[in-house]
Amino acid sequence: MGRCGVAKINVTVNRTEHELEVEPQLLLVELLREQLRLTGTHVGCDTSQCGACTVLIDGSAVKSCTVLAGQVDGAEVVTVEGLANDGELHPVQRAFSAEHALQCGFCTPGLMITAVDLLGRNSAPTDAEIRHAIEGNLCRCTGYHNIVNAIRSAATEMRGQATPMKAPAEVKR
Amino acid sequence: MTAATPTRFIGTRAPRKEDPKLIRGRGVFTDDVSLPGMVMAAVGLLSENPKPTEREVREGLEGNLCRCTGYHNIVRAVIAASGQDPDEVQGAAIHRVTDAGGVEAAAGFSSGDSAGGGE
Repeated sequence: MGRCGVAKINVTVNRTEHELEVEPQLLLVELLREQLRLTGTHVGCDTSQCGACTVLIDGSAVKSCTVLAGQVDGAEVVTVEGLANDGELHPVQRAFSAEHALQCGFCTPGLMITAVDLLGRNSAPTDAEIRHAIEGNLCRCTGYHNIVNAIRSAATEMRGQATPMKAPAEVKR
Repeated sequence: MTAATPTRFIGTRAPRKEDPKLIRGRGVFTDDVSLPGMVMAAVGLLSENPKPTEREVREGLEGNLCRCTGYHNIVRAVIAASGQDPDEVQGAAIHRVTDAGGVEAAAGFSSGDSAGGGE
């Protein structure tokens, strides 16, 4: 990066390469939302507590309000807009809708990105592992129950097995 | 009439029509909306000062330039948006815009230099 001026970065966002000029203090989430107009990545708290701004950087889920735009030089970023491939929804996206894992949809992009990160590392997570993985993502309307169901269902689908829509005896309060 | 298995509706899962946009990141939340500068300035002004005078409206919008409409009708629109009657608020103004779009001297003022016209 330059001394205190504008830095030039090359970053791949949702499979498209960009050469961008960024100011040193610009956050990745601001780059995505304001420069690239990818407003699917939401800013809930701006203080890395809520997880609404979570994106994948080189395959890992990262809260994009904690990353400077200059730090993603050479990296590959995937946002919620890049989850679907050629219009085909990602299994996690399908499962979130099928399992009613969203209401207002504000936390949904971050939660789905976190789920994609988890399922990339662990193709058969237990419910405890799912809950541990999403602990940095807050949801204020749906609650976490259906979100956990959705991630479990997506995991099953991604492993190529039949998708049980509902885990049996899953009433644990 | 033989009793068929009753169709069950209550408790049946139904797809939500909101989901397709929301899971693709195409939902629109207030934070995603960026209004044109003049509207943004007007919203900002009215949120701080819900009943502005004409002078306050003109000062609130002074950073936004308009090249075709001119400022008279914009000022009146902002006053109207605040729930006030533009004619009443502009009673003390030197000029005011008539319904036909022309400019006339307001009562009590003779025709003179126009303040803040947008030609």
